[in-house]
Formats: sequence, structure tokens, C-alpha cells
Amino acid sequence: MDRRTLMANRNAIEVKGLGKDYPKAGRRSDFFFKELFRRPETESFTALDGLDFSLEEGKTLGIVGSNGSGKSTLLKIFSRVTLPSRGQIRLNGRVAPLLEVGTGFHPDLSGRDNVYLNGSLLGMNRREVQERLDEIVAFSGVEDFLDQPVKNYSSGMYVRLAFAVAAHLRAEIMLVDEVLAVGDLAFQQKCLKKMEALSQSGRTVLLVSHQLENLLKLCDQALWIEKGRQQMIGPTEEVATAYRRHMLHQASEQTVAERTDRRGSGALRLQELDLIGLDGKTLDSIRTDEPFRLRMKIDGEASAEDRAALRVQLNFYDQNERFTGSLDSGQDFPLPPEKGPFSVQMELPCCPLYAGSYWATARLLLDGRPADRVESALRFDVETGKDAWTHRKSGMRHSVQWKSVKE
Amino acid sequence: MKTEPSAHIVIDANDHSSSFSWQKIRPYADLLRSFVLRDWKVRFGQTRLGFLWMILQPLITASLLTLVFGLLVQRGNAPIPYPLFVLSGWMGWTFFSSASLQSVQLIPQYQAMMRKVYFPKAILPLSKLIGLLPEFCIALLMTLIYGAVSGSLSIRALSVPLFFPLLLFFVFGTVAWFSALGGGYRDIQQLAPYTFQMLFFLSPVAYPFGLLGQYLPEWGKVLLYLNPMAGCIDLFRYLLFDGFELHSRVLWSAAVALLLAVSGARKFAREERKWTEGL
Repeated sequence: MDRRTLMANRNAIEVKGLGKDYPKAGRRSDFFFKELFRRPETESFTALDGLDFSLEEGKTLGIVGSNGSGKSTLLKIFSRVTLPSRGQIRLNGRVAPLLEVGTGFHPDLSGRDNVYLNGSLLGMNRREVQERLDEIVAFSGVEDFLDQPVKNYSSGMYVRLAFAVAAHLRAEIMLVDEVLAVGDLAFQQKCLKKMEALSQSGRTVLLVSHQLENLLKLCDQALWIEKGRQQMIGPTEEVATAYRRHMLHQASEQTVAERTDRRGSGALRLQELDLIGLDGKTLDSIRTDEPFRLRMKIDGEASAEDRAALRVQLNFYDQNERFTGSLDSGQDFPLPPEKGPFSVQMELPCCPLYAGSYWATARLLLDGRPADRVESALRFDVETGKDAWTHRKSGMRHSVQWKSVKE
Repeated sequence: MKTEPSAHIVIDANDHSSSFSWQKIRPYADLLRSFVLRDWKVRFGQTRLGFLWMILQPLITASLLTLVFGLLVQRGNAPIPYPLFVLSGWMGWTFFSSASLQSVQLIPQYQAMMRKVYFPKAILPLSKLIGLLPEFCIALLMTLIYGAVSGSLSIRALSVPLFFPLLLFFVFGTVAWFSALGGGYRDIQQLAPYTFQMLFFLSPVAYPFGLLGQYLPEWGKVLLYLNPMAGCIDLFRYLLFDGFELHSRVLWSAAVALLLAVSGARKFAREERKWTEGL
């Protein structure tokens, strides 16, 4: 406690004008001769630009931003994996990345040897690893297998040992990526507890996360970056609120028909994707205990005359962008007899998802080839109904009525 | 909680310094040791004979080369027994060729790791050099013992450490070059084995250069010594045994070795930042 107040004014991290460009060609050609005769591409794209912020010692900073906003690039620069193209970072203290567990593990070496190797890779010397070995082993729970090659470990054991090493690092600044919470549920809880303990032990922590709840729980401050630029920095609640509002706004700005960020041949195009209640009204949220329908309006050039097989797929993701389930029409879903708009409807007796917010990505396939794909075509909420428990127990497979209707 | 003053790290876009610096390597000395130990454990840990292989390998090669080349090379006026001749040449050669061959694959092998965690890349080629030193020392010891037993050892043998800097500079240079190029051009992996085969025949490992030299003009002989291995082996035999002479051409070898070491370290420094640039 004393330490935290004493040190409160010293900055652990100072970032000035930080930017990073990547060459657009991506990786260099593997062909020596091609490169001899052609000038390397000089075009580049900017992954990060103009970042300016600082963080006091002992604080935890959460980093948010949509996919591809530059979060990982920022962590890579902090961990010195890659060099910035512009600007400077000053760090007071040793930096340890917790973002990649098990890096440097060699399958042929014993667990013990790997602990030493991994420890030294993360900046601990032999003595420091030795002092912590018992703790590390106890935390991982692989005592009995410590002298066996890790190739004989189960994947769970492997990950637990790797996390245990990383979690017992001695560094003043920790870099954490949320994917870190690995393994079974009990171990995940253990990981989260450990992260909480880390941030309370006076260490400075940088945490990248998609899970706003975790950020709110663990972080004093949050940094929001969007398209490589610093959007906002401040108290976690304020940033989280602004970020959430931005996300919702983005998704609701365009209707499905207006979306241009599609992939696929374009032979068919999704025009609308809606949830419909029994009374025929469009729904924003569904209850776990009530039947509902999903309706897709599709337009395009394909019809039954093409003798092509249609397949419709909907994949569902929760607010943490985790895949939670899919609806699939299977092969040979009938196309309408003539060209022109038609709709596909599915009727579900109840919603097999837990309460929460979800996104659906729609895919239309013709003869197995993608014709159209719209990411996050639909956002909806699920609310817990009265008999949520009973039907969840009945299993995750639900019979769905699919039908195609000419519009 | 803190027992030592915390490190201050500055990450700057304009920092173009090489990782071949004592300042950068020193905090990672333990990692360097871990890499070396790991290589040994992976190489010998799962064999039945384990580290005994370090002794067996020179024995086997010396016998093989003696069997094959011993018949071709005239023995009439040889100052030392042929197996000793081969062993004394092969010792430096194998240190050079194993280190260089292994370093070709070094960067691809560690690329996944270096895209996740920072460490000074220079410790990779250094770990190869250090990792092969015990084998080199064992072969050296065997050469000395054999030389002493067969009575061929010269009094100059006491000054044999003089030869180490030349060999180390040379091997460091090639290791730096091969690992630097192996990181960006996978073609090197295909090319390297042939290069070493050719170099083997162009080095006085299994036959004395005198044999070849009598057919060559002076510039041809100088050309042969542009291969630093030639100079290394000549110097080593001259220091160890009586009956070998040292020509000033060896200086060419030393010059090339030095050039390789300096340019290799620079090439490595220029390449190393590219290895982690992938998204």
C-alpha cells in the first residue's frame, strides 16, 4: 500500500509519437533470384500512428479496439519483438510478455528443462528460476511428470506449465493478452485470479482484451485504438462506454442490403436477415423459451434451372467474438424455380443460446462454392426464459424447419 | 520486493544498433546457456551412447578418411602418420562445417519464437559456436594425444592457442553470414551442402596442398588460400608437428577470415530486423 502511494507519480511507461508501418508486400519473397532482378516493394501500410500516452507505475492499462486496429502490433512493439517505425517508448523496469505461453518449449526436453529455458527466454536468470521452481510446479500441477519430455504431456498439462512459468516472472511491467486465460474452466479462473494478483502487487500491467467485463474488473485505465490511431484514453468505464457505443453504432449504420464488405462470387446476395416472432413482427431480442423464425431475403442470378445446390449457413458469435453455434441447411437446399428474390425461413422451437448479445454471420454456398458472405449481418440479444434449464438439458441439436418461399 | 535497480529500456524507432553488443547480450547470458544446453540435450540426450558420440565421431571419420584417401596419397616422405594428418585437418574442418551448416537453418527454426518474444538475435549464431566447442576440444585433445603417442608432436605445440583466433574469426564470420542469409533466402539451405562439399576438396584436410600446388602457378596457390580453412589447417599443422612449413600465403587466409567476421556481423545486423516484420 505504502509502495503504491510512494511511487504513484513515477511513470512506468511513456509513449511518444509511436507509429509502425509494415511493407505491403508482407513477407519477402523466398526466391532469391526474383529479388535480385526486381526492386523490393516500397509500398507500406500504417498499422499504428501517432500514439502518445503514459502510464503511472503500478497501474493497469486495458487496450481495446476492433480486430485489426493495431492492438497486437502495439504489444509486439512493447515486447520488443518488432521495432517501431516512428517515435519512442520509455520503460522503467523489466518487461515480460505473458502473451505467448509455451514459446520456446521443446518437445524433447523434460518439463524441468523447459521451465529453465522458458524462464531464461522471458528474462529470468537461472537462480531466479530455481527459487521459483517449486511455486511454478505447484501452480501448474504437473509435479509427477516434471522429468518427462513435454511431448508426452497432455495439451492441458503443457499449457498449464507454460502459464505457470509466465505467471511467476519477476518483471515490473507485464504485457498480457487475453487469450492467455487457457485450459479448463477451473484453470482459467486461476489465471484470472493470478492476473488480478499481479495488478495488485504494484506491477504495471498492459492488458489487451475483447472482454470488456474483464477490463472493467482489472484495469484502472483504458486505451482505445481504432485503425491504428489513439481514439481515447482515460478511466476504464468511460472508455468502455464510448467503445461499446461505437461498436453498436457501426453495426447499425448500414442495412444488410447496403453492405459492400462481402466475399464470394456474388451469384446470390443476402438482402435482409431478420428474427421474426410468432406474430410476424421483427424482433431485436429473443427469449430462450419461445419459438421464433429466422428469415433471409436473398436476391441473385441463380435459380433451380441452373441445377445448382444451395446451402445456407448461419454462424453465431457471442459478444466476445467466440463461436457459439451454427444453423446449416445442409446440401441441396432447393433454389426457387425462377430467378429473382426469394426468402429462406427457419423455424426454431426455442433458442439454444445462453442469455447475452450475439452476432450472426451469413454464408450462401452454391455447389459448395461461396456465393456470398456477410460478417455480422445480424445482431440480437437473448434473454433467459422460464424453462431455460430444461431445454438446455435436452441437448444442443435442435430440429429446424427450413423452407424456401418465392417473394 | 525489488532487490536490484530496475532496468530502463528505451525503444526507439531510430535505434539501428546491432544485437552483437555486449550490452544487449549480457542480460541474456542465461538464455544463451539454455540454448546451448538445449541443443546438446536434444542431440545427445536421446541417444544410448550420449556424449560418447563426441569422441566416437572424430574416430569414425578419421578411420573412414584414412581408408579412402590413405590409398591415394603417397606416404613415402610424410612427416606424420596419415590418420594423424587427417585428424588434425578434420578437427578444424568439422567445427567450421557443422557450425555453418547448422546456422543455415537457424533463423527459420527460431522464427516462430522471435515473433513472440524478444531476445538479442546474436545469441543464436553464438550458441552454435559455443555448442560445438566441446566437440572441437575433444577432437583437439585426441589429436594431441595421438601426436604425443606417435612422437610427432613438436615443441611448438605449446603455442597452439595461437591458432584459435584465426579459426574462431573465420567460423564466426561464416556462421554470421549463413544465418543472416538463411533467414531471408531459403535457397541457401539447398545450396549450402554443395558449397561445403566443394570446400572440403579445396581444403587440405585429407591431402597436403603440396600435392596440388606443384601443378599450380603462384596466383593459383594464393587463390587456394583465400579459403581461410586452408590457412587454418596449415597453421595448425605447422604449430603442432615438425616437418610442415608455413608460407606467407596464410596471411591471405587471415585477411579473408577477418573480412568475413566483420562483414558477417554487419550483414546479420542489417537482416535481423526483417525476421520479425511479418504480421
